Amino acid sequence: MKRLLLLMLFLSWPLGAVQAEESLQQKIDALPEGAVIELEAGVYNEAITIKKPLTINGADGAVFRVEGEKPAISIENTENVAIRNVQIEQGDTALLIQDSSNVTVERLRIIGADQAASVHRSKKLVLRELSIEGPDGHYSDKGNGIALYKSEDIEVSDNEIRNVRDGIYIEHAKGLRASGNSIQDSRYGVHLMYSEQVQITGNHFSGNVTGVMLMMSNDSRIHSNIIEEHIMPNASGLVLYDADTIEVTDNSITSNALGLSLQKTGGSTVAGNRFFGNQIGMEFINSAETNKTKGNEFTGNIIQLRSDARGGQIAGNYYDDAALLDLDEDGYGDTPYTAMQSYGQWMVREPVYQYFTEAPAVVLLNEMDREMNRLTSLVLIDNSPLMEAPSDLQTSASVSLWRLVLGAAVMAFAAFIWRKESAG
Amino acid sequence: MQLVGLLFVFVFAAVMTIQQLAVPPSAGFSRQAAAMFNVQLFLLPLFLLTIGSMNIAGDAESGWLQLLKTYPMKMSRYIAGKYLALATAFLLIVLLALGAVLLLSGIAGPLAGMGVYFMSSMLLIFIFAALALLIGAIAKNRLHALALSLVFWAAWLLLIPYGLMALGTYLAGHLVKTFIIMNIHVNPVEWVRFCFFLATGNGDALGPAFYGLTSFYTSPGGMLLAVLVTAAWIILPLASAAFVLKRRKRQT
Repeated sequence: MKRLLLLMLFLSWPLGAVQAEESLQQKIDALPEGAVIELEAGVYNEAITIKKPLTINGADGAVFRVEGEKPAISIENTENVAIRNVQIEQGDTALLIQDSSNVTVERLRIIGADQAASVHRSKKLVLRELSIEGPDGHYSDKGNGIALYKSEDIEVSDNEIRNVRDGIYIEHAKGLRASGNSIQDSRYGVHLMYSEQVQITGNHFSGNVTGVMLMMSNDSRIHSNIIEEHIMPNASGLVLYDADTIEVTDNSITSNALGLSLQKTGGSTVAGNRFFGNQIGMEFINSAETNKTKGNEFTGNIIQLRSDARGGQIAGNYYDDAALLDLDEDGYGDTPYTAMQSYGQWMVREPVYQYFTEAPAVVLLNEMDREMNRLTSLVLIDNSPLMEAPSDLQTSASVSLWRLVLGAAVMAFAAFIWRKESAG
Repeated sequence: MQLVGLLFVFVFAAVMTIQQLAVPPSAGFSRQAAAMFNVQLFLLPLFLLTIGSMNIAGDAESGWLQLLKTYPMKMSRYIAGKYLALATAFLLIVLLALGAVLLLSGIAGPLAGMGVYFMSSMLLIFIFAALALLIGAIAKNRLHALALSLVFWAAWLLLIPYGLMALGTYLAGHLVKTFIIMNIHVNPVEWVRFCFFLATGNGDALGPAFYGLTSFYTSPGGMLLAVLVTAAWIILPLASAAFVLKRRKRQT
């Protein structure tokens, strides 16, 4: 009997120890395909790899805190995986998805990761409601928010990304839909390379070096985004470089150093956008000839449009600085609008001229230039400028009592002193 | 002087109200900010230089200065008095104009950066009042003072920038940049304009080529240098004006 008891103790002791120390990875490995893990709140100091269909639902307070270079969560060579509601604190790569399909990642909070989410050779992905805060430091020293390589059919929506190199980096991707994202204080909001059939819709980009940088891509649409306050040196709201058949429509491009730059871009359409309060509204570099610019509103930009070349298809846009008559009342000005000034052209050719932006000498020059350029065709001319802005943007002229009173008081004080001194 | 004041108030308030109604305020260096600042840059130096210089030259032309020289009064005190009077008069004009803009903004909508406009006006007044007195001291008579004032005003505001832009068509960009940086320090209009960009945090609007310069002038050492350069633009013309008048006193 005593021997039997000892034997049972011997057999049960190691088994108990294994169960107590079973890692999350071991649990995952032990589960059948399609299982659902309800992850309890707590800190998990281990990296996991998922190689089978699986769902992980984190409770509030479920945190992966992982050290080393191994991604906190890896999804590899699988399909039908979903991960929801966890926080990842990882210095290197937080989430890695490779060679997988039908993957949904929702409500993840990723803090301080060099590379928040990296996707390679995957398709049918949803990355939704991620909150990504990159580490401190210069853009060149850190990675991207969401990076997508050679992947297709991807939804990236309603994410909040800040302080990373590129908010969403896309390379050799196809069929991406980025919508409802907010990307701030990064190098590029969206950086698109060698991609096609991409839709960037309803996002908010602000305070980046460039809101959207689209390079060597085609057949894509940038629609209804708010692109504002990109005002660092070399900053731009939206840059299309070496691109083809891109639609830029109905975006609000506000308070940027340069609103939209088309560089070596052809066959594209810029329509229905609102360029408001930018230092330079829009520029064409090697792009003036084959793109259509129509139905846009240029309001309060210091330089509305500029180009390094002659011509350009601009028609039916609204310019707040146009002095127009519409005697036939067709809604279009009877005389053309000269949309480019010599100074703007010089700025494109020699960036150092930007120093003279809106200097008194340039203001006079522009006025003379506008009068003289009416007679020449070597500039960007809109032959049918809109008489009224497409949008109904107007100043909110609310009466402010304190400004009225303070203004009157300041005037009265100055006038009193003036009269007193004059009398003396 | 009253007419000048009224003209300045009218133009300043009108431009601002038109810009305010046409373009709502936006972040960064906007056309609204540029319009308001350009009114200051065009008008204040013009009025200050012409009125200030003609005042001193008028004293000499009318014999009033000769009379004053019979009193035991130093020329530096005479210059200081003239400087304070001129600066105070224009400060009142600016105050009146900003009051009018504030009043109108109560109806037309808020205007950002009123404090900066007041500061830039003060900078213009303190620098150009000093320069006006120097021009007046150099001038032989009021007409001469008027002509000199207009020449300097046109050169600083328009001719030198046009010259630099023209040079840029022949010279490499880095050379033009060097000339522009020199011009910022030797041209009072450009110096005030540069200070305005720094004070409003819009140094980036000058372009990436000037990133190094704006970065330097926003550092503590740069700010100290900016204060010294500004002080030099005030003190040197005043000292020179006193020196010129003193020399003329000895000659007579």
